[in-house]
Amino acid sequence: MAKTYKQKSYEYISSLKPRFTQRVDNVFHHDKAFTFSNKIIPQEGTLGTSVIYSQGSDIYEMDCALPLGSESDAKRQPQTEYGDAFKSVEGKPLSPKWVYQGETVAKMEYLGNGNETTLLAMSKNGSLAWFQEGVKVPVHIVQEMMGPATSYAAMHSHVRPNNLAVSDFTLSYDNETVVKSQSNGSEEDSILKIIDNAGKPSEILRTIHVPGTTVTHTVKFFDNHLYASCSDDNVIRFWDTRTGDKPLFILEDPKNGSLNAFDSSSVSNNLFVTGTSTGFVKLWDIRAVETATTDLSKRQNGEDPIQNEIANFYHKGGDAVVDVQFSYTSPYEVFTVGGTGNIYHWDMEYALSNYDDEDPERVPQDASEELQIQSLRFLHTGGSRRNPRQKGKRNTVAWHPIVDDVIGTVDDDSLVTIYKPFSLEDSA
Amino acid sequence: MQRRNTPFRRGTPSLYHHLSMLKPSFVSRVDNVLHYDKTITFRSEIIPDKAKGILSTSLLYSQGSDIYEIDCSLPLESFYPSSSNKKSTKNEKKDDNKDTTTKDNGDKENNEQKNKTASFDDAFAAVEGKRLSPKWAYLGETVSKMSYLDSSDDSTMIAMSKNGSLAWFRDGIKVPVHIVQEMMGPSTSYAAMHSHVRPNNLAVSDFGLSSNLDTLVKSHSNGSEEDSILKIIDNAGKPGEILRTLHVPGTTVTHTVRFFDNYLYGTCSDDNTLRFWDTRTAEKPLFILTEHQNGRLNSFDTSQVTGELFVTGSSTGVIKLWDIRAVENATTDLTHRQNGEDPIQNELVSLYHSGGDSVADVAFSETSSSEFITVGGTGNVYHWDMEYLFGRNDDDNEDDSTTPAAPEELQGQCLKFFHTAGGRRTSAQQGKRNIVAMHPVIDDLVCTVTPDSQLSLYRPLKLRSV
Repeated sequence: MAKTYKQKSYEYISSLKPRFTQRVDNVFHHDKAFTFSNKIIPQEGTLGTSVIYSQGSDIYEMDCALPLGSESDAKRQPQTEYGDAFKSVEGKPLSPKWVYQGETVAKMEYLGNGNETTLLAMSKNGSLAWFQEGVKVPVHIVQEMMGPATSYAAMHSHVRPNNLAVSDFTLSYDNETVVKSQSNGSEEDSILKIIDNAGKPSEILRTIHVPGTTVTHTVKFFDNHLYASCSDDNVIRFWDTRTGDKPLFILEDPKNGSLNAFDSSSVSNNLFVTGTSTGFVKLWDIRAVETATTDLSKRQNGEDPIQNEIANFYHKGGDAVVDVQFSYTSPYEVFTVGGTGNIYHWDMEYALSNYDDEDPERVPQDASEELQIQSLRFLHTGGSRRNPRQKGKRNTVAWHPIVDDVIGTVDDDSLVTIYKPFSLEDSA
Repeated sequence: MQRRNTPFRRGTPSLYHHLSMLKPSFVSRVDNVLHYDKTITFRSEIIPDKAKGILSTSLLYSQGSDIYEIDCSLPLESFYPSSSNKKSTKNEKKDDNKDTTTKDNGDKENNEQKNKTASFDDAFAAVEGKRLSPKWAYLGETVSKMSYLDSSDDSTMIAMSKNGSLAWFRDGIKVPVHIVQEMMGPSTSYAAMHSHVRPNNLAVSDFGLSSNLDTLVKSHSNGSEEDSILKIIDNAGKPGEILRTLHVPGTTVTHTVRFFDNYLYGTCSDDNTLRFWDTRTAEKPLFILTEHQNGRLNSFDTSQVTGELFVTGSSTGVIKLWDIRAVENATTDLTHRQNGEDPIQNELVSLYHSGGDSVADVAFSETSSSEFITVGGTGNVYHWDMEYLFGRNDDDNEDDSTTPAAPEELQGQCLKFFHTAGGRRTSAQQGKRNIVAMHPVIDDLVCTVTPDSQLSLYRPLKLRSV
């Protein structure tokens, strides 16, 4: 079944350049992060939801109304005009809902309404703050400061702040455990911390060292216990929160430049995607990766295991991959963010339909023109259209956790955009 | 009977709502039934049949290496309190319409008549006289503990053998589907584990399951060395995979492991120390509780309903109820002691078995936050309800200004029922673990097994004290 996608046409797209109650001198100066809340309220032909957007230390929540759309494909038409999803907040100056004073928010994750805490935010230096509905300041904090385990100077370096001040966190599926990664200053040793989010939120349960790595830039859970970390030695290490201080197994990918990004599918549990600085995107099956570590049929003991990806894709023109995220609603859909700020939508269904996890002889599906055409679904050129200085950043693009195919993003100049690509499946 | 009861409280009721007995017969020849170790547990499924007015459930019974499933049927009202039985023990709402009230009264009378009759009930009517064949078999091992998981999962039940091995069983497959085998080897002393000289000293192992069933922690002795072993084992992604091995130095036996929630668990060792751990932390306990008085700590159980309470039982018959929050706070509280001194960790309440009957096993109710049972070395089962205590105490009240209830009064108010199981029939009854089980869904339903394979299924008739 061939699919053709009407590239660059949107089912809807809305943008807002928010105004703020306090004066913001240079909006470019502040780092921004973006996520969705998981609220959805159907109302009069629209679906009310909200986006959470941080700028420096301030975190804003903005309501938006998504068009419900018509159910039948026949009636769907690509939209050429910008929509009015942000009508309710347009023109109104925003005041911060939460503030992480003295820190720059680098990543946020929405925890949910029913819980004690609503939002978990990470600052640039690796500190974590838990926020609660109705309380403007954090209710729990894990603060990273200068001290024996971290080099404050390196973290706050103005010479190479974006090299070392890279940290990340991930939540287990039951939201009961947080794992965060951070650099240990300039030493050859990055740090993982396992933190409780159930009985005693923010209690540090364990600190694990990842020797031989300066930066562990990505951590991601696969289920309630299994998680992976991706470091600057181009090695992905797989861990269980309950095991000792050694990884269960590892995956080395020394080809194709430095590994920049990594994400696992919360729908399938077995798939993950990596992205490199040279623009390669690879889809992997964790079962095959693990099996290869003990499979000695094609190699001598002592040789490196033969770990192959399911398929690989590429960004045109060598656009570096800075971020990658699996959809929360589909096992096939992935977006990648390029160094240019472009957002690439991928559909892995074609690659997976040619993949047989029982076949020991299978080889990775290399980036062929056919595979590329079948899999690259949509390209959103976002900020780069408007501003050639636009740089792709992590955590500035997010899938909506519930509504299919809806993506939100924030640009350097604080323009917030939400869109849904128009995809008319052509079975002819 | 009456003489046994008097030490506790005049008229401590020993009447049963329900009492059924079964001495099963087997398809395979069993030469000497006394020779085999036995354990018992319940399945959690209950199947109501309104037409017949019965509620079916089943229990799992192991004898040596064989595991049998035995169906039992109870009156429907043992789970659905809308009718009869509860009426006789609880005050019900007055606004019931008259028809129901009359009907209930009728039922109540029937029940009272029934309670007065001395005959046993017939929960096992369906299996009586039939020869049982094993549903599962853990060949070459002696089952010492079973834990029911869920029939919808990959595996239905976990069994532990006397030497600390674990086997996962699934409905429809007679042999284990996963195994964690303990053998002779560098970390275990096979000889000591299988010793016939002192098998019950060293061959003590246990396991606990996290509340979400994802993780299992098991303990076993490391032979005769001063070092017992805990193993954290996966029960989610790869059941049976050993994730980590922890050593508990200075202990020969760690006899009990129990989880409080998905991650926090406690272990109880023969140095009379309870250690509290998180499956995700490094190899040291989070905090400990040392209990030097009252003889050897024999048993320990946590409340899955509250997640905070636990009970310990000792060889001298002393039972203590604790609050884990208070135990933990005391480790950092320096108001009444110097740094370096042992923390002052006090129990909520201390109870005892009359006559120094040692505590062999304790089990918290899975349906009530205030009820638990203890099993004496005589095989007797004691039912406790702490509601009287909770009514008086307030855990936020830091200063202990509220005068504690007199021990005798507490004892009387909290001991709700007393079942004299095998002790009545055979004097050779020894205190064993895992021979008494509480039903995970049906309130107060208890099953016990005696060394001669007599199964008793009962629900106490508990009259509320005024």
